[in-house]
Amino acid sequence: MPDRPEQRPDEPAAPPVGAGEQPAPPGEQPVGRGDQPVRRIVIVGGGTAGWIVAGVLASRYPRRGEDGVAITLIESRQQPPIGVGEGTWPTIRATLKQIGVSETDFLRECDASFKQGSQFVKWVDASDSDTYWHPFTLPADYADRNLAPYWLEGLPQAGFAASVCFQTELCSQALAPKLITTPEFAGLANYAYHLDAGKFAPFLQKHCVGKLGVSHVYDEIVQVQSDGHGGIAHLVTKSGDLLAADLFIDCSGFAALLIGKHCGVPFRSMKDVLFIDKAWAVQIPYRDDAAPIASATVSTAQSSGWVWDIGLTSRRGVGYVFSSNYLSDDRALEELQAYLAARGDLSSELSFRNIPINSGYRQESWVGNCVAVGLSAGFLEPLEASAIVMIELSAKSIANLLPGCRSGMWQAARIFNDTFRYRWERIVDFLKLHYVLSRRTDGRFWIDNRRIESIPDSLREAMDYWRHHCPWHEDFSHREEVFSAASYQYILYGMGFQTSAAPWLLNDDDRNRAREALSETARRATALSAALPGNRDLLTRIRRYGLQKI
Amino acid sequence: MFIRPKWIGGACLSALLSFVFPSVNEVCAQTPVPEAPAAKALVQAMQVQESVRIALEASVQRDVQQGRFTQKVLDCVKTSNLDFATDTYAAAVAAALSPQEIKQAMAFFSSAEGRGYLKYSAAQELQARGLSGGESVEMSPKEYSATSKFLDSTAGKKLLQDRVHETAELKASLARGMAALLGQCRR
Amino acid sequence: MVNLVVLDSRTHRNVRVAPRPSREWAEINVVSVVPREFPRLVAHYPIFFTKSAESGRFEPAVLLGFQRTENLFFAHGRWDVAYVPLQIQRQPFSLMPRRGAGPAGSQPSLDVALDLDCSNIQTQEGERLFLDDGAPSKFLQDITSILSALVSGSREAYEFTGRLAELNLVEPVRIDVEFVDRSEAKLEGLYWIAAAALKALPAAQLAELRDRGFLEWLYFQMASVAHMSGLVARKNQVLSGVTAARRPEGGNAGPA
Repeated sequence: MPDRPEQRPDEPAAPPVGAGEQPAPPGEQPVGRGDQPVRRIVIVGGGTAGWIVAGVLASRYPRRGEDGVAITLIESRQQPPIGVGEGTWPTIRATLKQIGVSETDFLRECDASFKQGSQFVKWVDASDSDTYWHPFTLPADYADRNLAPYWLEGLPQAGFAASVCFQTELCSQALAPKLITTPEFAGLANYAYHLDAGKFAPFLQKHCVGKLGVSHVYDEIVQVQSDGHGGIAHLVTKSGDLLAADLFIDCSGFAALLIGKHCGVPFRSMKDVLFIDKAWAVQIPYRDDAAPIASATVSTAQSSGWVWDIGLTSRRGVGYVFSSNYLSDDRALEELQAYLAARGDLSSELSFRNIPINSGYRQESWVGNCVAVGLSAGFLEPLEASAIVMIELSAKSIANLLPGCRSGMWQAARIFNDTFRYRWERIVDFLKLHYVLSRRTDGRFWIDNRRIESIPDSLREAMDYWRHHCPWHEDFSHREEVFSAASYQYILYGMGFQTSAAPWLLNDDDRNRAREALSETARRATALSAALPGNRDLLTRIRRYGLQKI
Repeated sequence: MFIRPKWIGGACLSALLSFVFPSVNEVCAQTPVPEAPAAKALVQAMQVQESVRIALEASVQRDVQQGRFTQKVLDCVKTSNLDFATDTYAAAVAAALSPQEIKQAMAFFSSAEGRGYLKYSAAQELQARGLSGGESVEMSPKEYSATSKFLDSTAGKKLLQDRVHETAELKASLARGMAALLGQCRR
Repeated sequence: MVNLVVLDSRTHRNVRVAPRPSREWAEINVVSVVPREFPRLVAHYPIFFTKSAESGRFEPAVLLGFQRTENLFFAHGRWDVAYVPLQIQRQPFSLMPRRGAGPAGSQPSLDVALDLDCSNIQTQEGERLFLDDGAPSKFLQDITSILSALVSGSREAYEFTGRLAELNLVEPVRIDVEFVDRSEAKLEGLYWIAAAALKALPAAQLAELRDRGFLEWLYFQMASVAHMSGLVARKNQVLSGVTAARRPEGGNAGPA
């Protein structure tokens, strides 16, 4: 369990007042149906969040019927899923395995490609050589020692990620993280996926409904009925059905039908910290069938934001996230088009979609018997593809915390809220770090991003500490962090931050081992880049032959 | 108090660190640079020479630590004349900006607010690298507003955002000058 | 290096091929086989599955030695058991797809080809490829049958191993052996039938395997693993300096 602050003795979070309900008197647990078993789960919304939650819960709790768990997902046919959440973290492999789908089917049906990390271009000083990597594989020797202080000593010529992680070389050559003979979900380098979110939801739906016994309802919700004790009793649909449940999971996206509209949980805007509030998105076809597929998400900084560039098997997804305070929609579109033109990708056939971004998260995600997952819980700019991993973590937490009876729900809610509040705060810190470390002074967006009032205290204090201490596991208090110490290292040292570690805390033994680890990294990089196929080659083979399960 | 890592890059010219300093076996002749007094004054106001010096020293420092050059070479470089850098940049700016734009830029960089911007940039460099005391680095509202205005102007865009003056020719010219300087210092 | 040319009764009228395995393609420790060979293979060789580097699919193969070029069944130019795997028997012949478009969607036609760089090819001794009138010799006809058996056998192999993989009947195996001189060999990348999974297979699927003719192949593979001790014994003989004696045809290749 994550470390929790001092237990407040007997005061649950007072559920906010929804339409026409009595709040529970303070100091009392929401009483009423304490013995009522928690067996019926209703998920509202059929996008990525809805189906990942359905898949995780249904596979964790496979008993159905009279003495099992009933899981129903309701979605309205009219609401198209957002479809921009296209990057994932390596946790996705365990999640897909848990749900029970095959990697072969997933790759084939979701146009997915292998993601091995992110590349950041022009974030530091916008010079021609300004680029650094954030790979998924941990730095060499990570289990045994912190390499960073020794790397800093050595007046390195190559970048941090290139020196301590062989995966950087694979990424720069658009190589795959595995062979056709590597079993499903295994790899020679740590990897996740780029996927077509528009195909991912239907793919999971097919599996959840066909193999896991999830019930699927197409209908609109016209009313949310409270139970008078701080929870939801049932939903009323347009066709007049009543959907009763013991737990309601709000995956309705930005609409937030339950957590927002019904429960009225306030939304904490992060617009003053992370300025991004808009995006232009476009799909770019490949020139031909042989065009290489990139191994990482490329994030290229612009005048007032950054452009994402993601390579799927069928097409690329490109978009410019920016701040409307610094750039008009028109000017932003021009910049995006200039980015495309520079790569020979601009054509009159392209259609650009404008997407508003409401950056922030709910004060609490779990209120009474309603918990929000996905966009309804919050959204931050996709700089480190945190949206889908938060969905996975939420699904896993709900599955782990699910109480047998209603009386236990308030505790589950409290633990969940503490954990996810912490996680949202850490994601905000981590994303802001990318901006604070930039030295760009060529625009108000960049200058303003370093104003003290826009920097969370937690980040400022952490950076103060890191001026003399390289980030390490101990710095982070939770058992399961969204971003490891290694990720912070990749960003800090990739952007030229210079921790001056106390020399008396370093020793020759570790120094020698560090030197060996660096040579070993270089050796591995050479060996693996000779052995591994290109992404395009491997994905084509997988399409044809599939991957073996073992 | 702690020993700091010794490499520091220059301000907006840290691109220079990515130059491959050519092996210095011969002194390359410097191509003469056309006169451009207004551009030269601007380049001086932008404190370009200081940035070049920092970048050059950092690079030579690294060579000294790795045993390629002696300390004497570094000492020599520290006191060398870097006028060639000013001249090179002046020529590039004169070619890239109209006289109007040069005037506009000069007005900014020679003003108190413009100097404040330069100070802010230099301080921001240190701050972003974790090398300053951790206090916040901010511009005053006046400096900020003047900077915003300049960034919105064509001169500002050309010089600070698009960096139109940093052509391949400029880089080559700079590299030649640095090679010559290093060559002399190694005598 | 391989130098394949399509066989032609005029160009190759006088070419002869020595009808025995030659060193350059006999010195390997793993040879891919096809399931229709299993009844003959099971008498001498341990059969496993390996993954194709091209497709990752499982292919049956026999283990001949413990190092890359070590073939413990081949010494002094002679193969010392009765049955030689088809992939070895067919050498130096191969198949090449015929150029030019056939009907849309059809498999390309295959022509018999010869590896000219093979040392077995001569003009004085050995078997003739063509008769005086240009017709293929009996030797060449036999070779063509072998090649044909390999093509259809290969299709059968993929159907067989594909179904096994779907039913989770294949599992990896690590070979860890120690020889008489205390040296060791560790082999990875080999797979075999998972006995426990087979035992737990539902009746319907067992019946399907039987009806498709896969069941006996499956059992042949499992039985053949007993030859591992024989393989180790062969290696021990080599290590002890005992030269491989010529075994009578069809003799027992069990443990020494």
